[in-house]
Amino acid sequence: MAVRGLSRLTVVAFGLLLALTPNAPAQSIAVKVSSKNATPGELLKAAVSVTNLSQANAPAPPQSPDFDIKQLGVSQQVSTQFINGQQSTQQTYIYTFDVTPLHAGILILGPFTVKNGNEELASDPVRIRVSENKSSNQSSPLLIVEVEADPPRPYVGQKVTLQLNVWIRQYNKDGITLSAQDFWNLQDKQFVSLGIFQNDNVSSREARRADAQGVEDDYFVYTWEATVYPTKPGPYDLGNIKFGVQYPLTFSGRDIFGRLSINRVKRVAEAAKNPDLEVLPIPDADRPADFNGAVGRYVMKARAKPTEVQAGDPITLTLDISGSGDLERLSAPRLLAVPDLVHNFDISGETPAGEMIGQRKSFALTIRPLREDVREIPRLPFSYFDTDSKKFGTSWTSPIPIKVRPAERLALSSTPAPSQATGAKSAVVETTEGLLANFTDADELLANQSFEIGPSTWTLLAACPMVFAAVWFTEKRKIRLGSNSALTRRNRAYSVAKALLQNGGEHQGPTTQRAREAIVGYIADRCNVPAGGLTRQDAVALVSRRGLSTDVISSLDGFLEMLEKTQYGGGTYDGDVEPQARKLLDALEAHRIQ
Amino acid sequence: MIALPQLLFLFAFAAPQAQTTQPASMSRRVVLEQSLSKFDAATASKAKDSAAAQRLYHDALEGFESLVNSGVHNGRLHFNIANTCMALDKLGPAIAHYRIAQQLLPADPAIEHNLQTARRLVQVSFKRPASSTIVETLFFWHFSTSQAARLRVAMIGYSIFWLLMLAMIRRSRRTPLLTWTTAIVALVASAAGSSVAIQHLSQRSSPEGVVIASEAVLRKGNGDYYDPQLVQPLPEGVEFHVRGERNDVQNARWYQIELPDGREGWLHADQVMLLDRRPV
Repeated sequence: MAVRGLSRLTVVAFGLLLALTPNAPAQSIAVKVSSKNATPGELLKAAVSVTNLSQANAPAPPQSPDFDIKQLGVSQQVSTQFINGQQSTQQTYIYTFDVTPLHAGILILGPFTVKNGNEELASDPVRIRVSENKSSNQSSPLLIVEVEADPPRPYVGQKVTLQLNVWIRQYNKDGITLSAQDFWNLQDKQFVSLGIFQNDNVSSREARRADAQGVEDDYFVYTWEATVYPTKPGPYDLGNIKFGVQYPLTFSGRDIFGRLSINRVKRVAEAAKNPDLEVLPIPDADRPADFNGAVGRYVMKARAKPTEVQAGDPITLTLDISGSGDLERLSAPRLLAVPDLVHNFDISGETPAGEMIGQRKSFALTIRPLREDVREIPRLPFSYFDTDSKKFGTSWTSPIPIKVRPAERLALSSTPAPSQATGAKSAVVETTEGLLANFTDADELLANQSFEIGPSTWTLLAACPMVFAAVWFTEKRKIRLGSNSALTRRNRAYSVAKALLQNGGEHQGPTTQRAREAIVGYIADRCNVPAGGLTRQDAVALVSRRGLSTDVISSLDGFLEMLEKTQYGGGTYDGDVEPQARKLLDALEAHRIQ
Repeated sequence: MIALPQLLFLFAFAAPQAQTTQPASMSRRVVLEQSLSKFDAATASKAKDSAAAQRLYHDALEGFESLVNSGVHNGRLHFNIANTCMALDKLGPAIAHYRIAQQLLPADPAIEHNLQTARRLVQVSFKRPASSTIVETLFFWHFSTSQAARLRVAMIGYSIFWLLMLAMIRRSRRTPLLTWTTAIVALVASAAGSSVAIQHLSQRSSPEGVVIASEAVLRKGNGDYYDPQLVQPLPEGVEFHVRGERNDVQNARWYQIELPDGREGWLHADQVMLLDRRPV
């Protein structure tokens, strides 16, 4: 059912008032009230007509504790009359006011005053009977405004869902029923202040509600929702939230289209009953060093690109955080409170703002490995306060392996400012800036460490292969001798012959025989022939074939012949045998017969 | 032959040691202690930039340098010189002396730390080619040990190799263990020896240097009359390799240098300090 607004009613009333207005004097002010019988809170209309003022001054409403008076607008009427051939023009300004009686009783409204030059004009007071509406047996309030908070005792930073519920008692009387939309159109804008619920997301529903006496009544409930994140502990002030409605009292009938026209309305306004919203502080006990105020439950994952860099080169570290808290307001993780990271990386001093990507918030920052021995980006914590368990929790990223190559140059300072790392209570962070002190040990400082290849080095380099060659040669020779009997006989021939001459060895025979055997044996050994059957002729022939001089050959032949004669023929030898034999051996040895 | 292994071992250990002289005369010791004291006094001074502190630093630097000029070639001494240069805001000479100290004591963490700290103060950075990183990874022992240490390893390996060769001669049957041990020792000795030789030749053929002027214009040729090679001058502390040297028309010495990123140009000799010549 459509309800025609008060504007139409106002126009009708104004027309009636103007029609009833007698011919005004030259300057006048008059008040007409839409009804002189009312109920407390009922909205009345007052039309204040000001005629023929030299100046267009607005009338001042009376200051009365019995009424709430608010000016609405003004309209102008001009009428021209011809009486007895004379033309007269009357200009009237009609100011409209909302007048709401505040309590029951016989109340006097007025006077309204207006200034016309130095003269002040005043309207006549209007007497209004204000009585309780006895026709209504309902005790339920027409309007209830209340706010609910979930949770009622949140922590700082915790999401709080607020719900504003406006209850308007349904109108169902005399066969007339108003809908939720009708009441929505009847809201009194003058008294509507929604504060943080200033949005269009309003829903309506029907509900029953009991009053203080337990009597239930039907209501339309209009609901707004809002979300807040308290930033400081203590009582939370929702501000001045109120709602007003011009509740219909009577209807004047139906228009030609069958629509109901409201005749009288009651102005009802209520301030919201705010909940006792007490914001709790985040506890200090067990608070992690990296806690940055995140409230809720979160999961953080880390990405890095590139993962192969030179020391000092930038790596973009992206931290993706998702969870149940307020991601929009989430601050970047406090990486300066992570000793492992600060020790090995230069961290950009700028705090990344973060970017919402779907249901997660990403923080991208630049880190630089300080040294080539850095092998990974350590696991990083993100601590939060879990309001469900009322405890701190920490989400850890997985370590990211990286490869850092040594840098030829580092153009940037790689030292984190000491003050930046103070967030870690017990962390000991080594600075990389500054010079290490001088060496002071005199012996170490004065030792000459120059690199020179000196004579001893060269000597060693040469001596080793020379020694090896000598040993090698000796060993080779030994092996060669050991395996060649002819060579052994030949090499040992002279010494064996001399030994035989000198002391006889195992030979026990006469000297001439030993001398013969020494000479013949020497020749046999040197020529590698059996010595047993070797005759004088054989020995001389062997020597002759080896190119010895004829003197030596004849000496040999003669000496051996003489020995044979002495030994077998019974002759005697004139000289000393042994020196002769040795002399002959020396002569043969000098020729190295083979 | 029984005494030969002992002799060779003694020789091998003694050979590198023989290169390190120990003059340690009293006068050097006194100069060293005075220089250290002056450095400490200047550093302890609250006003490190005051004229008095600067004078103390200069005196300390002079003392350290006199020791080098007297023939003491010591990594720790060059480290102290570099620290003093840093205190005097001589970034280029400081980096040069840290590099010399590192050549003598490659694995010393203090030298590495201070060198990196000094390098961070250089106003430009160069990206090294990836190949140099791979080479340094594969031949880490070449870059992380001193020439003297590698020479010592080479000589010991050389001696052991010949001893094992002798043992192989004397044994009638060669065992695989002996053969493999000999081969491995030979490999180690030859690698260490080659490393020493390569570095020695490299330093002689292409010495390294550092810019010591506050701004040095890298030019396209050996003279001020050549155009600049780079838009901006090279700041102090930039390191390079020397590829050649030549005089200009005024008989001034110029070095053809190669920057770490491979770009080349010419620098006036007065603006640089070469690592192998150790001018102090």
